[in-house]
Amino acid sequence: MHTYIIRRILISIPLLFGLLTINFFLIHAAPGDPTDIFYNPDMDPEARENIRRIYGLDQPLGVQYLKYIQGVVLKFEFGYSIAKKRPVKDEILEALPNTIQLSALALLLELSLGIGIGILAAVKQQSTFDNATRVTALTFYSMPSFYLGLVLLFLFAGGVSATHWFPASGMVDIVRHESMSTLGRLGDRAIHIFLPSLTLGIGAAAGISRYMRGELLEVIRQDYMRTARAKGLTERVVVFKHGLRNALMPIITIMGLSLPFLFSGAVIVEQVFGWPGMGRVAVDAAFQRDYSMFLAVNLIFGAMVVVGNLVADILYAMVDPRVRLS
Amino acid sequence: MSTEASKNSEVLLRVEHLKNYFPVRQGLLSRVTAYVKAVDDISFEIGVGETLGLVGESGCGKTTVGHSVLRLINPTEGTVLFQGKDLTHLPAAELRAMRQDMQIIFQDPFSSLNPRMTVGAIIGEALAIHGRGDRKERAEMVRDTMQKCGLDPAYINRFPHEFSGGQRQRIGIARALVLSPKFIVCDEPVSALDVSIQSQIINLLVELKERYNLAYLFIAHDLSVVQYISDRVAVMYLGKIVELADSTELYRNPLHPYTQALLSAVPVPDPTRRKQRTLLPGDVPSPLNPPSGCRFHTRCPLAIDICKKVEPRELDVEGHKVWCHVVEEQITGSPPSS
Amino acid sequence: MNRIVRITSLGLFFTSLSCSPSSTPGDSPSDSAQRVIEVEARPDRGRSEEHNLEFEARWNELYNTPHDNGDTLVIGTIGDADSLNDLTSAAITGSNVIGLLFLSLTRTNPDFSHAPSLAESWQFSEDHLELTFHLRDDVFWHDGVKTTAHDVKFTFEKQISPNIGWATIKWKQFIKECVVVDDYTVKFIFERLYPYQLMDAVVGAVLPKHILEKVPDEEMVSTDFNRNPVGNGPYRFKEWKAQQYIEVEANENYFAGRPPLDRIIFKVVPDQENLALQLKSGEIDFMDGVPPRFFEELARQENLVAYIAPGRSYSYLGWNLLNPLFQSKKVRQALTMAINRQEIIDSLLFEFGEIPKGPVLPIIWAHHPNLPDFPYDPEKARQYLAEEGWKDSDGDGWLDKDGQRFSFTVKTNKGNQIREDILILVQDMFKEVGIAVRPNILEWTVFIGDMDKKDFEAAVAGWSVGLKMDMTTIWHSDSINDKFNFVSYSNPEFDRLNDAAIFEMDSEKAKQMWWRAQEMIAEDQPYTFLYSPKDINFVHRRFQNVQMETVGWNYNLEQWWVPKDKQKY
Repeated sequence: MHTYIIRRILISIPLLFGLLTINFFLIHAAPGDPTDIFYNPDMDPEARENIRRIYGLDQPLGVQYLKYIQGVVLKFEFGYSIAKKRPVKDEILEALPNTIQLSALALLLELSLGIGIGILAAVKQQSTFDNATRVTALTFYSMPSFYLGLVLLFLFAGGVSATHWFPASGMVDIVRHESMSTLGRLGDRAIHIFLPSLTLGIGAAAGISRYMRGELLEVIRQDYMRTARAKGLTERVVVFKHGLRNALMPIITIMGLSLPFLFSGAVIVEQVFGWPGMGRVAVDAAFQRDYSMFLAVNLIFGAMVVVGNLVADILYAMVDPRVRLS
Repeated sequence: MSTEASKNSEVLLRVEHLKNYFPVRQGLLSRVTAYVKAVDDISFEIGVGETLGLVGESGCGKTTVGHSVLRLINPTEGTVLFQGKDLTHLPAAELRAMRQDMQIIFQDPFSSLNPRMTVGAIIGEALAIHGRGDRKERAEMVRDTMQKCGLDPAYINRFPHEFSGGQRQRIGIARALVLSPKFIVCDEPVSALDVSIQSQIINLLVELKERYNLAYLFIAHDLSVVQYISDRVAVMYLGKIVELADSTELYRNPLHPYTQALLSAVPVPDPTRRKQRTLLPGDVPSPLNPPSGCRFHTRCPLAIDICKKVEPRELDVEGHKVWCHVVEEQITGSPPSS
Repeated sequence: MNRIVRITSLGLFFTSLSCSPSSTPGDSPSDSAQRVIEVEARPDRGRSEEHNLEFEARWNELYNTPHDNGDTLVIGTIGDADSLNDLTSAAITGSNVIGLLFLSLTRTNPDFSHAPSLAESWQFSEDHLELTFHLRDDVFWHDGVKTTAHDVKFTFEKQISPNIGWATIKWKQFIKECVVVDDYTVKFIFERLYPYQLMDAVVGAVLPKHILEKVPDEEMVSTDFNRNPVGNGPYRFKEWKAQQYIEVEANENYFAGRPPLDRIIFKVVPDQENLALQLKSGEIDFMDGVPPRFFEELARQENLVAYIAPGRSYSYLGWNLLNPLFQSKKVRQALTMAINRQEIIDSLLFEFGEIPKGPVLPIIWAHHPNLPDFPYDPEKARQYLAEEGWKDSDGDGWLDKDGQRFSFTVKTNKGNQIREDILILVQDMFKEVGIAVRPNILEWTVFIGDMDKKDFEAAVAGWSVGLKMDMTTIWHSDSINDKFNFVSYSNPEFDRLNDAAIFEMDSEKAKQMWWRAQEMIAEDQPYTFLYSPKDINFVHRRFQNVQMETVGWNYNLEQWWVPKDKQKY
């Protein structure tokens, strides 16, 4: 198992390196360059040239590439962000934990809601609950997250004063947070993260609930479920111990594969709810042609995908004795 | 020769007028538009230590009978008396307790074992549920049962996927056996196995039956397997029993054209003995819309007019029961009337 | 037209959904209070080197009248700052914060003239080539060190360093040298005489030498100071959480006295719908540049006061003059007449805009009030085009000439909803006169890349207008290749006038020259000047002494205060 994990990580290094290289040339091939953000008539072309020189953008692309790679490999340095005027690493270290927080909660919501509803719908197949959740799930699954975000904003974050229960943006109440008690701060964080994580998680939860329902119905049909009943187990033990544990296995794979979608979803949700995370860093970096930032963000997203898949594989091996990692 | 179980032993299981209808739902609102009549009014008995073979083509409802008898699915109508108690209306808790005495072995040794449990857990779980012994005693019982079923107890902590098909079916048998039941439904226990393994499993089942005085409802789709193990055999076609007789009697003197057709399909060990093969035309009709009259008439080589219109009655010839207008005419000498 | 409805429906959604249960328009007492204030446009005196005593007296009034301290102002802003160091900041939020943290030599009056700030007074030498500033001796950096003439000289040297990349380095191009006379006296020596010497000398925040002298020029773009600035202004830096907020707090040791508000927080909210929502619900207290579509709903809120300021920018439809289609002046005039600009302003700006006739807006002193105009007149447009040979000879509804149909692509950038909508409106309007237009909406960097390469036929874009009267970078033929004369406007007479007017010291003469230059551009119509939007600001009613001016909404931000009984935080 350990050697497997180490080997998987080692294999992913050239993969990420390739990703970095491709992205490097892609973003440089895209029209425009980082100094476009200084585009105004008050700015002399000379000043733009100065900035290009300071950031080494005047050098041949090959040289820029080698320098960049050298920094990454030898010093684990990811360069300076032209748009943010600080080391790329600093900006990412500030944004990444926020995105992880948001995504983790969204994942938790996704799994708990999705699995919970999926189980109920499967156990009460063809019931009103099953039919209602089917329609609801389809609605949320097909609703673009930015739209859902806006709807939630208007309904619960100030659009309707009677139901103004949540703040519209940010991670904390920036005026009052510092003067709050520990418990108050926790509550403050909770009400700030609720709507964005719900927006991010509910679409995926809808998907998971359908998968879960399908898997569980599939499993419920299996002979070993009848075997379990034949043993004289109660229905709850049958469903949860024998059914759920088997039905959950594909969900683990789906979860691992859904991680990248969670991050790309965060890009939109962070924009709508002003959540200070990687999504916004990524959008800014792409539009501002902030090369170093763009590359680092993509590298991290790439690494997340690799790690997500690895974790899914490991979890899968842990829950399914038939799978051996080697 | 008698076909009544009660004659040589007390009745363990009595099934009366068992019906199993499955609703067919269609449309957005999932409205019930029709019923599949998987099992349509059948009755039989099994005595203590007796084996009843239940034979029919796939889709005839024999597996549904097996599951209904144990109330793994709820019958639509009819009664199932096990040791005098009507299972169909038993509260869940009592039913679970009853399961110690009635078990099942499934057809597919691959899907009937929970892939995420060890052999020990699969076999031992029921012991824990029913409060048999302490942890240590239970482990001993599991080992013991494994041994009896021809499994090396050293494999107690392995997972099902580490075993071959035959071994897995032994696990399935051990699982059913560990509670020392009185009655086991064997739902095509060998049809998923290689021919070379089949006889080993059959032999094991026969051995266990004799050793523990077990009663079996032995379900199979070919008569040759059933012949060897059964005391009596019932033949099913499209949710109904068409013939029920003592095992040797049925093989020697099959009355129903369907039974005859089935028997003609049985491979004969002696190549010099050539039998005329009866080939049944067409496919089994859908149980969603079964044929009128005798359900077999669409494929019956002997069908006469009345077969299309009137359902045949039970005809009991010295314990050899058969449901067929043609046979009735032959035996009674008079055309059956509606 | 229905496409426009679709595009703006999200905004309407905001209005319709949010107005019903909450607002109760009626005759509540506060209803009588003024809720929409038009910001007065003042005569531009940016070239003046005199003090404007009236404005200075007004400014000083606050510090002599009783007011309450306390409370917090939360300003909603769509983008984060990039740096709080004037040398490296390029984003607007950064410069707004820098305006609170740092002092410049002078402060800008509402009429663009100069008021004392770090410099108490200034005077030119006889030959007008030396400008001497006398600094206050009671200004301290927030770390306790005194601000002196050495800081001024140091700042100037950093500003002109090619290894730092200060964005407005051009403004210092005629300053030869900065000399420290004594600790509180500093002198700028100019290479030549021109009208904006004072403005060029004072532009930029003065920075602390004792901190930044340790930073090599090449590292200025990434130095820690950019995120942890030490200033000398009315507010001191407290905290900056990337993409969340920048917080500044009152500087108790400010030379003019402690500013009233305890804290000012710039809250970053990257979405306009969300910003407007927070303005309505009170999560933010102020927002500038409010999209016109939100005006009606926000103006209904009793807690908010709207300030409508004259526009400082304009949008245009530029014609690529290198393209044979647009080389005739008469054709360009016809194109302008084909466009119903008032309809654009009414439907997309909700009437918050004006039609500019030329590139110099009314807030600038050199603005020409009576330029030739080409108002909406499709009939006349068709006639002009016919005179130039563009007729519908094959009767297919489209104009043609020499077998060539009159059709072209209009490019603009993504992300500016109004510009994207204009493309669709304009397409319909041109169809009326028989011209086929294809809209092409591009990502910003791609769009300006195309503009630079002259790879466009027509384009919708905009300019914000600087304080200095100078038409060189956009209209001069020297600016065609590497500057901002995208449309390749080339008029030798204009060039000559522009070059002379820039250095004309006599205001009246300069004005006549600029007027003539504007007439040429209006006549030539290298752009169709589409609209100049008004700037909509909303601020919470509890703030007192809010004086918004055309120089900026934050003209006297350091003087806003809230009466004790109305303080929220």
